[in-house]
Amino acid sequence: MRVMIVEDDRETAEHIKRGLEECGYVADHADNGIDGLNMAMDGSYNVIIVDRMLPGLEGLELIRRLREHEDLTPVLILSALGDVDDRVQGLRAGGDDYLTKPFAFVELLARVEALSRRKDQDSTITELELDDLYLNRLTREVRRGGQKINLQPREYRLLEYLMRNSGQVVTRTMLLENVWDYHFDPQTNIIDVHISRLRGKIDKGFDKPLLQTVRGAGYMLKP
Amino acid sequence: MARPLLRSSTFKLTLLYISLFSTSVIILFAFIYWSTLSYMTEQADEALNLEIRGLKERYKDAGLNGLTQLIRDRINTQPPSGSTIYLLTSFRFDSIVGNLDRWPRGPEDAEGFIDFVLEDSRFEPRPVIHVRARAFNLDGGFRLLVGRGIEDLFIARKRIIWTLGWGLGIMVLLGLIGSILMSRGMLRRIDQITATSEQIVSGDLGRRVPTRGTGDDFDRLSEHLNRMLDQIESLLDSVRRISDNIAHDLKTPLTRLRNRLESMSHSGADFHHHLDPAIREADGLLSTFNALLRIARIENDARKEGFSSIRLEEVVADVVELYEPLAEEKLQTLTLEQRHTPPINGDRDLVFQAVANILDNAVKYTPENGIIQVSIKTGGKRVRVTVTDNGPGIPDALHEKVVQRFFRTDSSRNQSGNGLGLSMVAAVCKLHGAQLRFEELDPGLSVHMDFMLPVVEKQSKFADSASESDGISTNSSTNYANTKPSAAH
Repeated sequence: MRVMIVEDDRETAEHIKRGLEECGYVADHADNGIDGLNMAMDGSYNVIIVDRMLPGLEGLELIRRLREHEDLTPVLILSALGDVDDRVQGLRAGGDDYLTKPFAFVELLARVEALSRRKDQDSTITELELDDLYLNRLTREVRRGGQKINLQPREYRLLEYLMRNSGQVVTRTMLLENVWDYHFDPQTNIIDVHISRLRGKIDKGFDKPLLQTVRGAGYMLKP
Repeated sequence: MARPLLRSSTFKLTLLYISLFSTSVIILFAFIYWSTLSYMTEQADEALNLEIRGLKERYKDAGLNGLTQLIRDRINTQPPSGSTIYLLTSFRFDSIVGNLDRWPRGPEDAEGFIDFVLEDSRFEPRPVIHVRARAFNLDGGFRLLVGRGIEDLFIARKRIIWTLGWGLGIMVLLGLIGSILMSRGMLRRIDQITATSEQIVSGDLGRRVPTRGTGDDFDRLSEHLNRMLDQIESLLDSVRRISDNIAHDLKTPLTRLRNRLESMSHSGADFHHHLDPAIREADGLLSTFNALLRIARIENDARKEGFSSIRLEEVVADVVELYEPLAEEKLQTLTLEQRHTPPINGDRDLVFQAVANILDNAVKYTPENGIIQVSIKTGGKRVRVTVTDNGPGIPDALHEKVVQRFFRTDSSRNQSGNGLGLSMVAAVCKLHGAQLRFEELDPGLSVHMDFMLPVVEKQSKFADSASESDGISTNSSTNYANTKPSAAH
């Protein structure tokens, strides 16, 4: 997996680069928009991380030019501007995800992983399976060990998202954005309550827990 | 004082006004002068001509003797103060009869009119008499002169000039006095404003421009300025309070973080159990900063780019659904009462955030087994979202304070939270033009958010549909259609 980082702040860039390399990614770094665009178009990267305010070429403009060349590499926008409008602008320019500085590295890692998988994810898959957990996206049927599990609509969507990203850390913010479809700051760990409810339905009574809490990061569904 | 007075715009204006008015008065008087005098001259000439015609007829009927007799009669019968002058001479200008010693020297015009001056020998000192006369040649070489005193004309002329002069003088004088007084008054008011602003510049923010209470232009200006100053002062106050609060509220977690790091550096290899709390502390600080920045951005942002037509009932239902498990854990009853409501114009994420913050507080502060009711209904031009709980509530006196950044009631101090939740709600409401109101219940609290329904803009809809239907419109007409709706906003 190759990741391109376009970020003018050396320390932040180094921090991201080192973190990604520790997780097995190959990461390249450009400290201005023009180099960033050239490298992004030359190399074949799985994900490009772009800061918004860049010398040479503004981050959004970089994404726009990339998209004009029909380069559809997923882009994660990093920004100190954390406003809703800015996110809307970023996504409109062709970005795929938006992360506000300051951020926890696990949050960035989870998003990069989700984006790098996006390409080879097939939305036509109708059945998801993990160990003895089974989910049918057409009938919305959920079974574990052959036993039918009744889920509320939101619980179903939560489980579906976790199963689609199984084996990978999913942060609370990602869940809010993808399962609830709202970008907001919860004051309390409201997501934990939903997770523990879901856990009560899919893990309770079974020997092997599938839904795991990753400390300081989020959750992961894994066999 | 003299320099600012002469330079004051009011004074200059009144001077300009005085000179314009004087010019028009002079023109008016000149017209009166000219028309009065020419009328009087005409009258005098007419009388002369009449007299001459009578004398000519007598000469034709009765010859030189008859004419001489008539002239003598006329001179004798006219009153002492009479002013008709007769002189009949031979062709050599030898006097035959008349009350004038000799032929006057004045120039004669084409019709024979002569203007000359006489000295009246009957009085001492001899008054000067202005005479207008007409000379006439009779058959036989005789010359006849008939004249009349035209003192009236001169008196009238003098009067008119006198009136004009005095009138103009008084007018200019009064105008000057008025303009000086007016400029002084204006200058005084302006000086007051200047003095106040100077005091404010030098740091006395509590100063206000004095008003007279007459509601005149200056009072209105002063009131506006004062309102602006009030706003600035309260903004500065809030900035000061916020920075105080930030310093105070961030010092505690930073101290804790520092202590943790310190004990980590002492504990050698066994520092791992300090790591997580330290990261949590830093995360908490970051999220506080993020929330502060976010509130500031929302408060300053008038662009409303994230705005679209949203269904409040859907957003509210999503919030309730999100918080349901939490309420259930606390054995609270959380109900949602909703009616179908028309869509409003708003930012979906921000409205969600605001409603979530209110509901979060309700769940947090309402004790176990409490009741929380969320309702959404339409009334008039508003959609009202209400969150009611039977928790401890917020005393009336604190309703204004709870939306300030970092403000926490005594009962909330031991709860988690950063003291920014309701500030965020207030900022979101302000951005949406929604009214936020707290209502103290016994026991409990109702929080109302009144969103205004969008005004139906028929004009802009019309312009939109026009630009859509007219697919092959030229560039200029497309621009026109595009500018119209934005002008309507």
